[in-house]
Amino acid sequence: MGTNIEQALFQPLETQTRAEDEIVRPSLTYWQDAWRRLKANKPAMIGLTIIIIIVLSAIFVPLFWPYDYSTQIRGHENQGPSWEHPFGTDSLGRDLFIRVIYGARISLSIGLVASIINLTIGVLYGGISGYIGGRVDNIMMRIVDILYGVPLLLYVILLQVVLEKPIEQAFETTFLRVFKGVGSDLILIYIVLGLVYWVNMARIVRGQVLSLKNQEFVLAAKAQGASGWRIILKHLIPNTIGPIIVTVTLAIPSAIFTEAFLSFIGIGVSAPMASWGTLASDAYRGLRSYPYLLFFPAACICITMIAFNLLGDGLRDALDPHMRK
Amino acid sequence: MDKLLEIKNLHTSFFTHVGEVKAVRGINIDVYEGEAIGIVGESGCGKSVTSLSVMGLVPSPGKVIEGQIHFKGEDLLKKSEKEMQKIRGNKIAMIFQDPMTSLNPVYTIGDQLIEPLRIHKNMDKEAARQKAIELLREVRIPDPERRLKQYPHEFSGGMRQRVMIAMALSCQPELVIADEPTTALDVTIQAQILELMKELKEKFNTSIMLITHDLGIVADLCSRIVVMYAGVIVEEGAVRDIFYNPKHPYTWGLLKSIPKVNMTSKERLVPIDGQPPDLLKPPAGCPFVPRCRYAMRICQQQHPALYSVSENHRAACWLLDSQAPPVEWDREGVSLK
Amino acid sequence: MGRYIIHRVVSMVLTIFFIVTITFFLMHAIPGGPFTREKPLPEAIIKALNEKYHLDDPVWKQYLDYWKDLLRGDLGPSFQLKHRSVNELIGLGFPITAKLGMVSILFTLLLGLPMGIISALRQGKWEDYTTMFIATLGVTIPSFVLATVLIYLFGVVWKIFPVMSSKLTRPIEYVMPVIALSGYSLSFIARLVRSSMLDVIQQDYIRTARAKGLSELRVIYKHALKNAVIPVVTYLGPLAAGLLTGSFVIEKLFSIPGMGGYFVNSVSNRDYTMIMGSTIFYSVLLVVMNFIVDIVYVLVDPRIKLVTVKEG
Repeated sequence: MGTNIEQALFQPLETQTRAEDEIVRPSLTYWQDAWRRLKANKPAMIGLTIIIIIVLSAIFVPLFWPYDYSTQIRGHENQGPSWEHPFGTDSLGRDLFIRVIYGARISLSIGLVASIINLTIGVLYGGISGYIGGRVDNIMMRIVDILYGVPLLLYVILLQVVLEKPIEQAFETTFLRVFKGVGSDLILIYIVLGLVYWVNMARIVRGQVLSLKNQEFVLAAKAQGASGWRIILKHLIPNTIGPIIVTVTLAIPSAIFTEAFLSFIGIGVSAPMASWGTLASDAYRGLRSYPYLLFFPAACICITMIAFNLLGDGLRDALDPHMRK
Repeated sequence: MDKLLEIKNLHTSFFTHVGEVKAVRGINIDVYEGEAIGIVGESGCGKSVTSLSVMGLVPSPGKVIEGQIHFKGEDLLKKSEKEMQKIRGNKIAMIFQDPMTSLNPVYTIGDQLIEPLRIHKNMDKEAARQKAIELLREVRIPDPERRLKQYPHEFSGGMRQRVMIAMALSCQPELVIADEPTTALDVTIQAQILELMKELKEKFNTSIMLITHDLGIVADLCSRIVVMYAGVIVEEGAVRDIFYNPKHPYTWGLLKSIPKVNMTSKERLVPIDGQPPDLLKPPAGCPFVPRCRYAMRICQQQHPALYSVSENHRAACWLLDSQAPPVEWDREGVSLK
Repeated sequence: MGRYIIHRVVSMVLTIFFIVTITFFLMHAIPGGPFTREKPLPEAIIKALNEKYHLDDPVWKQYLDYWKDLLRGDLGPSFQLKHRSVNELIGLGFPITAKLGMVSILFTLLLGLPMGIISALRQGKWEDYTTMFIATLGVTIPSFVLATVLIYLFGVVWKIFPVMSSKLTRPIEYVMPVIALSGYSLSFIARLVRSSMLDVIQQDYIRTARAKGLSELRVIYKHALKNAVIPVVTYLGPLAAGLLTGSFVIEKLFSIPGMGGYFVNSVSNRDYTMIMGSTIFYSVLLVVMNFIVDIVYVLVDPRIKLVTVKEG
């Protein structure tokens, strides 16, 4: 093999120079990687931006806006959108913009509180069921199966009707009086939505726990003598967090939607503060003459729903470990 | 013997959103009539992409960008999709790695076996059914009449792979490409499937392209071996050459990682450390450098040419150059089964 | 298969038992009873009413009586509408709701399936983007918003379709209610089919089908489609539930005298027997539908039998 290559090139390589040759991709933690993927997802980032804008306006706009949600401005009844009233005014001369902003407070708080309640119930229920396993798991999941086959919206309505009076009473007689400013209506919605929609969460948590339960790090924790609760809190829940975050993100708009739906058929949050659903429902009666009264609250509901769904879909892609490369 | 398949300078790339992944970078393989050839390498070395290129089934965003694939003198890459459909399953058939997922779960075995016979051989339903029964018998599936009406989930992995073989052989193809046909199976079943393939190869005089990461299983079935690494061929030769006189350090690594029957407890299987290179940016020199104990400066700079060791035995390694320091291959690590 | 059906029947009966029991006790947990009004009725009248409806009996006896009536198919009298039974009200409203529901299911499937399939097969092309844009809007816009927008644009401004659909006697009256009611499920199905189709076409058995030399068309319609549509079958139960409950608001908006309207009225009038009766009626209906869907599922997907063998 006659070659005319310099003899020097046939010297063995130093180990170090060889290592440099390897192309190493920077290794990222789970969260860094998820955040990187989320940032790359344009629709999700648009959703996130919209959510942040809505939350910030719900918090800060009432601090400087000249009108309150109940201020009735004489002579300004039924005005279309203008510089003074960007969303117009209703038949009582109330500024629709500030009412929609307060509606955002109510709708967002419903989404958030209801999701936190179902998160708590779902994680406890699903976590315990999956962790204990065996017969307990079997019975607990049969119950979930039964609940799954039932049209839950009916039970939201039913509970709404059943709990209406007791909660109202509790707010007049017990220490809960201090929360009266929030309105018993609103508390009722929080509780009812929170109590009914945890089923999905419980299923997802259980599935995650089951798949993780027998993995090595749990075994290692057990071998070190960690107690059952400690294993659940320290090891299982942090490892199931991805799908849970996604489920919560998608539960928020569905709670907002359900409240709007209930308000629209007349059993949601009632006056004087109005949720988006109530505003839309009130506006429906005057649809022919004052369509803008419907347009703004309806648009807010849609935009919020779309924003949360976009973010939720993005989170799913970002957090799903199966899709990681 | 005539050349049945001739792959010339094949380049196949995947155009992903991060860039062009050069999965196959200029390979040449000849398959002769009635011959079984083994293509060996780690996962990701381009061996499956090579087989899919032959079938014209490289999944998107992959594409053959250069080269020729002559099958009985005709370039498959120049054929239209319609023409390729007449070849697939008819002249060239394929057996896939995972029999558990390679059969459609919602149709019976019979439905799936009959399909190629109906489209390629224009058989009527009854004739195709008879032929299917005969095929199942051929691959030693007991009670074929009953089995024909069953769904894939009612079969074990080994049985499903037999069905896949029966399906591949149904139109009596001239070439069968078997992509890791035994990897997903138990060791005992592996042996049975290999035995079956060997028997059928002799019976029908079919050429076989056996693709595997396991050098151990090719020895029995194949007469020649091609070793691939990072999209290129690093060594090729007769089974005897590769096992007794390997020349490429990568082949040495592969041979050391085969378990031996008469292994003592002191001997250990030696895995090859490290990962194959990222084919987004294939290295200018030999791709094996980062993992090679014998790497030299030249190896980093220039890709080695194929050096002929003997007739039909070639290896792409600078160690074969007359200027390179002599390196002795420690024969102790290997034994032919 | 037989064992599977028995298993499902048992769990269906159990579910219905729980539904009736929970609904019954929830309704009886309301403090003050059904005749509490803003303006209290005279003692004597309440007493007479309680006697008439056996509300002075112990709760367990009322519960057993309710079951007795229920097993005869009697959901009891309405507390608010005099001389009307819950059965009569359901009999009046349900056929209309059912008609609307059926047409909506058909519309959902006939449009949703092709949308999802086309979108998957043309992944990344304009057909995909358009379809998925519409579907994303569809799953996020609430039905009542969609309905009001339709009413305003097509009913009030352009006057193309009648706003008050009344009894759904003419086909044109269906158009807007059906679109508003199916908007969500249609979009959901399109998205579901798309992702399941995308998943299926990457499966090994699709590669096998191609390797057999089948034409692309045959690969899709014979090997991919059946697998891709299977998840839709599981969604049929929730789909029916969504359409039924969705019709509460749709019927209200379009003034359709269906069962949804009666139900919403009974809720705002606090007509307890009617609420209880409709809840049980709806729930049982859906549980039975889920049962049928499960049986259909077994027929479509041969693998299911294996799962039950493992469970049993």
